[in-house]
Amino acid sequence: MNDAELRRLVRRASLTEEGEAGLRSWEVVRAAFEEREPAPRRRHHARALALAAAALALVAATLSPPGRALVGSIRAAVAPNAPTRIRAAAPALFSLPTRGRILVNSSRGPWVVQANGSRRRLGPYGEATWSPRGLYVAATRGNTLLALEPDGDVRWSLARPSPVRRPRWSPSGYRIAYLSGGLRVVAGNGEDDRRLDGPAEAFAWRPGERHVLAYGDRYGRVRVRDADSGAWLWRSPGNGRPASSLRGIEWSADGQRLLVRERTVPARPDGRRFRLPPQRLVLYDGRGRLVRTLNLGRDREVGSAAFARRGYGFAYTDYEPLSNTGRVVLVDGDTGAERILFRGRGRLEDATWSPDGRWLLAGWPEANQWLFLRAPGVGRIAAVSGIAGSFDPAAGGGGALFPQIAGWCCP
Amino acid sequence: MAGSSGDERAWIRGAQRGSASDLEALFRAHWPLAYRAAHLVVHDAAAAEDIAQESFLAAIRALDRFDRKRPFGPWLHRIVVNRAIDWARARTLRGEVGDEYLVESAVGGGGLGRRESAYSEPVVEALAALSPEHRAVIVLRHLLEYTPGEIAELLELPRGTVNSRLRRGLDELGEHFGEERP
Repeated sequence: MNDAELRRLVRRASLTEEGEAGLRSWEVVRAAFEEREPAPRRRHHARALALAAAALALVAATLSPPGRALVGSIRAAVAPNAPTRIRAAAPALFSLPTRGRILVNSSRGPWVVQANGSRRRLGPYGEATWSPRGLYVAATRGNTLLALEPDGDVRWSLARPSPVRRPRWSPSGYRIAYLSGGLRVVAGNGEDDRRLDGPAEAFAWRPGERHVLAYGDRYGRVRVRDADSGAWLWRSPGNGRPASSLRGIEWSADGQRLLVRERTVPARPDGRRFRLPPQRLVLYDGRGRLVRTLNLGRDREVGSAAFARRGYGFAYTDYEPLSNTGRVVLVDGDTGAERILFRGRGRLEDATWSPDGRWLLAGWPEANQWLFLRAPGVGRIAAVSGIAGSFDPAAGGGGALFPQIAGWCCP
Repeated sequence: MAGSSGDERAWIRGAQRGSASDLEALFRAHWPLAYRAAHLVVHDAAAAEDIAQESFLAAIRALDRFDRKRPFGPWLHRIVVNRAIDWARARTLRGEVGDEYLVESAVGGGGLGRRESAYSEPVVEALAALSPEHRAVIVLRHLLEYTPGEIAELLELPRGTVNSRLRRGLDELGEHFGEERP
């Protein structure tokens, strides 16, 4: 074979999916370009500027509305049985597939995982959550709420008469909502702590500078409220049926969609055998109008849900006890069409998007693995084994508990 | 494919000033070769898409610093090929698997089947037998048409190493095709 022959063969080789890959990638590249803020150009040496009369000062690009998330097709491979683990998984967490830091809540306290795979334990705390830009962490310890530096130094603490649970930092960074005998809000500096409402099943801050909280009351209704003024923005109606139980609330990145995980409590067991209550995912718009309902039936439980970083597509994990099978499912934001990204034995938990929206992380306790699923249209999984022991190295003989993924934040 | 050098400078200037249409022209001109180069080195369509995509994202991040007098292609290709080599070397360490664990949606019914192999050409399969470093120089020479000297500069290798890898790659590919002839 000579050079000319090889050149001819290489240049004429056809590759499948080149066109589709280009379309998908152009959307990602375009979205990144629209979010970029051009830097002013440096002045060149005088001789290079001989033909240029004025400095090249760039006008900051106008940020355009977030583009719709792409949901491309997933290439199929038939797995006759749901896998119990990914065999070729990395034996340990050497690196994350993209930039950012992951916050993990373990039995030994919260950890921060850097993009290079290094881990730092913050201390003997309970739940932890990122501040919006990852500059701080809010954590709990018994009846105390704390704000920490990412290296574990305590900035402030707030003691309460009741146990403190589920801190959530507002997108502005100036408020923290948490549960302690009711739904409470404190300023980001630990001051002005006050009660907003009674116990809430689930709650989430709406993206934006205004401090708006969506939360579920004990009757299963969604309430959206200005946390500073107390004004009600909207409430989902009661329907006279047995109370629904809200299991989770998520806002889309632009605050115009609200995803609620519901479980309707049955009036009586079905026959002799108690069956799972029907599960639903309910999607509202920013004004509380119903957009769509996904009925999952009685046989599946929803574990977690997360909107994509752009658009209204979202991912959720669910579990079917009869088959002991968990799934990661992606829902198209426009059509509501579902695509199963992964199916495996046991539960899949804590669906979490990377900051750049290109990877979806899920925990797989039965396999003791983390799964990094590449954003749809690009079929890749990066799996990591030994997760439980990574965050509880003192536990021996497989006694470590599988940790919870608490957020994937900013590079 | 790529436009004239004048077109390209205009596209870059426009993109630096915030023109999405100029960026799109630049993307359309360079995407096919970037994707092909990545694919021929890593032999994984999904990874090739990622690498080519990440290379364009890296280009956007550095766009304001880019000197329009220089051609865009070599700058992009250096990023693509180096990332492809790094990916191929690190694949085993990352424990990445292909799409055999992914499941197509059951919505809409229809049969589920294995995806078609991207290796529709004997030369692509033959390249798979080479190391990533050998594939990279073959791709840079015969797909992207760089001279050995330019390849040495792109990959920061001695020219002798580039020539040696080209020669060895050609010999191995020749053996592969020689075995398959009737």
